[in-house]
Amino acid sequence: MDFNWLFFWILAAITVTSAVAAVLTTHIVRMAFYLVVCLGAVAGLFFLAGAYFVGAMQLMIYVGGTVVLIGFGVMLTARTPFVRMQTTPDQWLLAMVTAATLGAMLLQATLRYPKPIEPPGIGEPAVSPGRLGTAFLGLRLEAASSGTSSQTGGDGEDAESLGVAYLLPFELVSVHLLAVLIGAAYLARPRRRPDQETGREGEHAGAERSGPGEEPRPAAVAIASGGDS
Amino acid sequence: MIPELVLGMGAVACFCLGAFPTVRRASQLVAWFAVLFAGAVVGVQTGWWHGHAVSEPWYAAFGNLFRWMGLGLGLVLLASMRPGASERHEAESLGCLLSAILGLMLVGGAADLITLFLGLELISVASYILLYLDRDGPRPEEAAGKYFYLSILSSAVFLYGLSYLYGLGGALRLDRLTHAWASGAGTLGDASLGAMAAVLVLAGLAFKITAVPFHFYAPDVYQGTSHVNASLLSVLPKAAGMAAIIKLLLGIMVGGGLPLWQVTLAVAVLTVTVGNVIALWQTHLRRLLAYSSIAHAGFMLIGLTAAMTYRRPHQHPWDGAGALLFYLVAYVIATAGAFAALSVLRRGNRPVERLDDLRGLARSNATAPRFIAWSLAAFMFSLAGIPPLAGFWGKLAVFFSALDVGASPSENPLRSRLLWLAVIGAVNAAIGAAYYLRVVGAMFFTEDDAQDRQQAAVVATPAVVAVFACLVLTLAIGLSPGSWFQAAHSASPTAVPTIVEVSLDTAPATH
Amino acid sequence: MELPLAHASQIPLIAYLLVGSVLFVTGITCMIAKRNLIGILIGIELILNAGTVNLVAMSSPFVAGSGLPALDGQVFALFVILLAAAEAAAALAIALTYYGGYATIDVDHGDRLNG
Repeated sequence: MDFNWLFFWILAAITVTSAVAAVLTTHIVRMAFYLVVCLGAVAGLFFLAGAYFVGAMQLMIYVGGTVVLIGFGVMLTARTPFVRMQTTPDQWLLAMVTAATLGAMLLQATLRYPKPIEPPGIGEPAVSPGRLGTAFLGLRLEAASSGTSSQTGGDGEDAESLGVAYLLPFELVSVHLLAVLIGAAYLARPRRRPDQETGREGEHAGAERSGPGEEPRPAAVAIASGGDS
Repeated sequence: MIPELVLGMGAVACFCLGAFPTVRRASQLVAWFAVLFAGAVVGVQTGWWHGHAVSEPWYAAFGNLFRWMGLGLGLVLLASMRPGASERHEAESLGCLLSAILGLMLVGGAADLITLFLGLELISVASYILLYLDRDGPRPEEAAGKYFYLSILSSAVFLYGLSYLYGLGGALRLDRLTHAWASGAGTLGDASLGAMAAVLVLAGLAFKITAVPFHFYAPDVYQGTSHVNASLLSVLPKAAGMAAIIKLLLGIMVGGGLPLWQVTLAVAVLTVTVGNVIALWQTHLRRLLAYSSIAHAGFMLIGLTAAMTYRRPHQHPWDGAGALLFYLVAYVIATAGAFAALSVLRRGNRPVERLDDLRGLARSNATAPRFIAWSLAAFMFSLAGIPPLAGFWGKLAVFFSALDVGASPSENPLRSRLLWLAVIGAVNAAIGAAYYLRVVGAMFFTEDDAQDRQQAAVVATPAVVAVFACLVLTLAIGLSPGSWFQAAHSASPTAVPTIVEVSLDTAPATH
Repeated sequence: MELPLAHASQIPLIAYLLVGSVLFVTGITCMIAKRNLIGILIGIELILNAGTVNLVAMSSPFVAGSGLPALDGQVFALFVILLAAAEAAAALAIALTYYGGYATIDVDHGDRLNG
């Protein structure tokens, strides 16, 4: 039992407890709070596993960005009747049965995870952000760093075949983000009531929407063009 | 790679043009140009059509098949998007459409797990934004909300399965994973983790192809949106999901010796039965076509099950995966054509939505509604599997691939089950014919008796041309299926190491 | 770029995978039990995190029994984090419109589409 184990146990315990607590609580604000704790602890686990950059991104994007979004969602939609989520007993039963089945299956499967095919790569250096960055540019630096061996096939491999270059996925994610951004800009603006058949834009459909109800189009344009740059 | 880049740039250009009101109209041109140019590039790269060159590896032919499918669907959907209805979101809709097609092409051509996952996600993201932009449907927010939440749930489950697939196989590249699973990575220690990975991946993809435990959203979502979006939802995710299933389950996981066919057999039987039986009661056209698309996923899974149980030598005529691909092509053409035909019909200023709205369409005085009625009838016959249309050969291929395993001479313990599978499929095809014939009957054998409604009319849009193109393709495949069969078979994964032949019935021994 | 305690002792991979499976199960439970769009979103975030924990652990050089090239899993995990953020934004927008349309984000009220 050394520090590595100690930190792992602490972080794993926090992760698991807060995840379970998020399920058990009926208060939406508490639920979001438990999610923050859980994601933060997962970031800690990433650091412990040597994935420093991923851990940092988990903190920045998830804990810093996503959870703030969720917080906004909670604030904007939480009116007194909806803060507490009542779950009926039969839903709890269904959820618990599913959880027990899934948990048993996963536990049984995970505990038999195969022994490592190769001795663990102790000598392998941690992935530095620089290597990650070059990989996003489509370059692989494995050939330069010795000690890297792939799992299968012991034949002589060139650096290219060690993995994939991530330029294409990187560009794809950019298209994703652009599409989602524009979509979100459209979704969040007021729309006409479903029962209005005319093409004119209706008044505010909901009390919360204080956006530009008469001229929704320029607002969307502004956000969309902001995302394009 | 160039066609994908062209489409991606086209999508980004459309999104950007949407920001400037003065040049928004140009997005239409950009979209058409991107799809046509990408098509030209694919054509030049592949020599227009030598999809069945024997020397070509299967995955190249597979990628090209899905490229052509994506581009063809892109043209049909572009033509069916009516400029008038969603004028204000035209640029964004076109951008989403282009990125959805891009997603399909990427899934078809993916060589690693990341591209495959991102391609599938690109389709989902684009489709739920399209669902929201649409103003034609009766309840867009509910349709989009339902679709969105289930879609990201399925993606998350799929991702969790992929993480195990990656961990067991030790690579992200599909060819390496194939190699690793074939040499026993999937059953290392115990088969349970490999089985878990397979079940999770299948569960995630079952949503995309509307297979049974995850099919329930389709009727509601289709009903809540417009014809064009329903068309997109019923073809693009299904084709991409099938491509991913072939690549991951058939190309990688079967090699590990997992008894996956048991799962797919059960899912196939349930899907085909549920889809066909519930469709009998539907009166709303989009709900009917939703159940029909569920049923067709079941028929395709029959081919998948046959492919999983018995590996055939290269280009065997009744190879299950080739049958699946052929079926997919026939289904996609007929469904896209049917939705395009429905989208041009109007009664007054209302779209045609219910079965009753089609009454007497074939007896109309004008030529255009009669043409639409005849085309719609052809698509329905093709979906029902009536010779000599494309759908008939698809059903034939799928059933024969199952029967062929059933009739294999070896002491194959699966024989009787595959025979039953083919029988159940055939019974379901007969049930399915009933509701397709109801649509045809409404158009041809009933009078338009409603006095208060306006005559059905056809809005002249490019969609009529798209309907015509789909009709020609359905007839052409139906009349000369041979070369199309060959193309489909050359794209079916035969390069998979054939370690297991028929011993899939028993649980694999621990290595 | 190494933590001083990195080589003290290696955590077995199974420990990470167990954390991941707990996250997965709680996420699924959350989605079933909570009848609230934000609650469902939180469940989905938990499931996605289960996937990233697995990916990172399996490719980690500091985890005993992984032994995979480190880059692949981490890059995949990064893409997943990005996607999750993008989808959270869209989910929030959908929850807001849903709220505007129904004045509730309880999914059981949104069943006007039937038949």
